[in-house]
Amino acid sequence: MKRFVAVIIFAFLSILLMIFMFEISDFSHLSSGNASFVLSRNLSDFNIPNIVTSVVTQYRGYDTIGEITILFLAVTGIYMLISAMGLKSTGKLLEPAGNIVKSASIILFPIIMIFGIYIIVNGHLSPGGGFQGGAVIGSGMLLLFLSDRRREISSRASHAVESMAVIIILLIGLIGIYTANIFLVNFMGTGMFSSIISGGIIPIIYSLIGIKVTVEFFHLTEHILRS
Amino acid sequence: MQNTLNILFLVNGIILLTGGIMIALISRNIIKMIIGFVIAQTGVNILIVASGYVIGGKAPVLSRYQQLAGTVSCDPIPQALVLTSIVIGIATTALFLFFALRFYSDKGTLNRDYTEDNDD
Repeated sequence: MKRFVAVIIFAFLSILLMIFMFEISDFSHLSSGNASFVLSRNLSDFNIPNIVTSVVTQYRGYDTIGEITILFLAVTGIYMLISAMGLKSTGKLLEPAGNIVKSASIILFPIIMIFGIYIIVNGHLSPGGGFQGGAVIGSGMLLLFLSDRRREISSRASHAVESMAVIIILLIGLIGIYTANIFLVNFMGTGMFSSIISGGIIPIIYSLIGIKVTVEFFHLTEHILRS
Repeated sequence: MQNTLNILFLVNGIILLTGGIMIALISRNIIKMIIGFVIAQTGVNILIVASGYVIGGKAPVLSRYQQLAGTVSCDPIPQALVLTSIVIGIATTALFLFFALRFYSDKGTLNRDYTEDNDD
């Protein structure tokens, strides 16, 4: 009975939401002024093809810095929960991997790395970027851990890389304050359209975000598999 | 035709959103609650991307010629939001699962209504 009432209530809510959704837009034109602003200014401001990248790294740069902080906080929370629980490594998790996984990881891991780096570096030219490429390399790291569960990777080095990436992003932002009184302003020339080195600081920031996301995913899998 | 497809995405997103929240509210097992939240998250992502659609619009990755010619493009801002929200979603889901693990190791059960009668 309780479940039946809940289903009725949520069906009612979804119908309301649908009516509201179709009232506010008919999808014949861009409904928000922000979108028109971004679409019209992108070429003169940054000279890069991928408008989503210029939104993520420049128009909404504060938001992106906040989001990599959320990622960091989630991984830190997991680490705190693990240490509070006092989980010790159990024999069950450290079972050796099969031959198929071991041989496949040797071949696949470099290819996954190269593909991830390709996605990160081409973030401002084609669909892709730091977040996606970081997730790809992070899943490659998971494969590496699954193939050899006793593998040791220096966590001190990974923490240093992660911190340096964020510090460099913030320093680039502060240079913007020094030159034009705006945080994260694009102080470099935008370069030639559709070449790897173009768009000023956008590829630099997106690559650093890619490093940060990679290391966070690495820590995530490491914490889970080590516990 | 394109509009019909987009309406399909919108309806799908709304159903996933409300259905996921409903699962999260009515189920007693914590793992099922987490599954509900993940479904709701997927629904929100679909809903946000679909709400930025423009009929006849291209993906917002344009060549110089297209940008100068003023080709119709979809709203890039919802796509940028969803892009980050997916990555954040994975990390928060992992955190959720670890809270469930903590709950299980403390109480020995995954039922959220569980109370220790002896201690009360």
